[in-house]
Amino acid sequence: MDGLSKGLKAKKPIQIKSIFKRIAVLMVVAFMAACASAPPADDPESVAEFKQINDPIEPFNRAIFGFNQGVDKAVIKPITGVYRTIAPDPVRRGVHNFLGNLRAPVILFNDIMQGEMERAGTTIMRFLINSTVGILGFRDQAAEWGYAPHREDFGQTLAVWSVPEGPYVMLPVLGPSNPRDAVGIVVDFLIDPLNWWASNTDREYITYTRTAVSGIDTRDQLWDVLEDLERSSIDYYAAIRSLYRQRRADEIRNGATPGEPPAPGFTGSVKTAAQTGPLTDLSAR
Amino acid sequence: MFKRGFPSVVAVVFAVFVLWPGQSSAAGGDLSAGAQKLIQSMADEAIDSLIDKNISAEQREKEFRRLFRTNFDVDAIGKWVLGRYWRTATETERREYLAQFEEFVVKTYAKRFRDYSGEVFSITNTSMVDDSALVHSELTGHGEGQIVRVDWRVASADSTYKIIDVIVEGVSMSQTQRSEFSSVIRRNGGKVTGLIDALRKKNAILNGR
Repeated sequence: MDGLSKGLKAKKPIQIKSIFKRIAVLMVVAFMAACASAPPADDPESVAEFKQINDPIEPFNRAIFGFNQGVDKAVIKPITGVYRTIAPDPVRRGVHNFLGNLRAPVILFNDIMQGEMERAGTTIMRFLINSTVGILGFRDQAAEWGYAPHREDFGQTLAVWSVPEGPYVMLPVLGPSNPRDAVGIVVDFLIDPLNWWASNTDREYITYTRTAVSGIDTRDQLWDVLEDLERSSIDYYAAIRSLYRQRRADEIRNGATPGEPPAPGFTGSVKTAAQTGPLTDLSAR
Repeated sequence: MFKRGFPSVVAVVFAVFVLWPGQSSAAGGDLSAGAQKLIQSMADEAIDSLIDKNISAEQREKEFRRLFRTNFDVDAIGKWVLGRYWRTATETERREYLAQFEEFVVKTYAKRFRDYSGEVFSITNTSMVDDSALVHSELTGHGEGQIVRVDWRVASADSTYKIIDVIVEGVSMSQTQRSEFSSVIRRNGGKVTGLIDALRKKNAILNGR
């Protein structure tokens, strides 16, 4: 949902201001509550779990999450619902492809920053093919010709450079993140040539429009998944937190299989969860 | 960032059982061969019994439960998902938890096969991780050129093979559930009964629909 806030801001600055005021109040309350949630130091298992979850300001994050759900219910989801009703599948796919093509310079930058020259080549080929044969990016012709899409962002680049992720943070409107990814969002925005061009030629509306449309497109892409996840989870917040962190780890590895992922032991085999102890699993992460 | 993360969950949806028998690669060792065979045969069965649009919800659930019990090590998964709280749980709590856990998985996953829309599944290769086999597979046909990676973690004992985890686009189902369950327990004052109640409530809601 990157930058949806900016899109809203463009249209309703007053509302956003009062929202921020509310956030400030929530922040103070939640931070005080957050301090109380750290486990006692004499319980090593709790401490290990606390570290593994990596969410020291959980009550605060949960408050922001609640706020985000409110914004989604009141604004983002209804708008996206209308979009889904009026725009048929192929149109929405076209919009999604178009927005993806606009992101090519940022992906290329990050491919290069990570030393991934082969992927950089793919990004260039995709941009050339889709901008022309793909009719300004509305069709993903490149994928059909064997240049599969991939995502890169500066948050991933920082990870490749061994910058630690920092604690889990729930950003207002933007959703799950961490300091590393939050910095990544800002850097990606700043290096995007389309944004430079828009601001140098007094066409900021292009940036605002793109941001708003991207937000709706993202919500559209997530529609079924979030619907399903909310229905089938008993702690929606915790489920999203776990998914986000695993997904990011996978994106950073570019999909390669990690060395020894923690997993359930087999009942019949020598090694079971109870025997090795959950602590081993926790510290293995 | 978030964008691509979630489609992967939807993928599990189709992936968990809608497997299409694909070309098999040369597998090294008994475990990887056995693991691959397990996934392959489960695929055939799932195709036959789960994706039929005409069967009733009850029938689908029944079939899913049967496949789940035969091919997954349900108790081991349930136990691992509970994490450190397994040790402190009483015998009654453990039994009740495992029953509710199985119900929860069956209820949440069986429904998803109704929406199957022609995705094609193929096993790409198998690798060894730790003392288990990882069967790598792909699900195609989601959208233009989109491929979803699904990895099946299979362990064996006494020449029986069982799935112990499903990893979709790098997201482990067991890991996610473990994280979610422990959160519920912690928010209920460290009591496993809090989780059991939450599961029971959720199952009742899922049953109602």
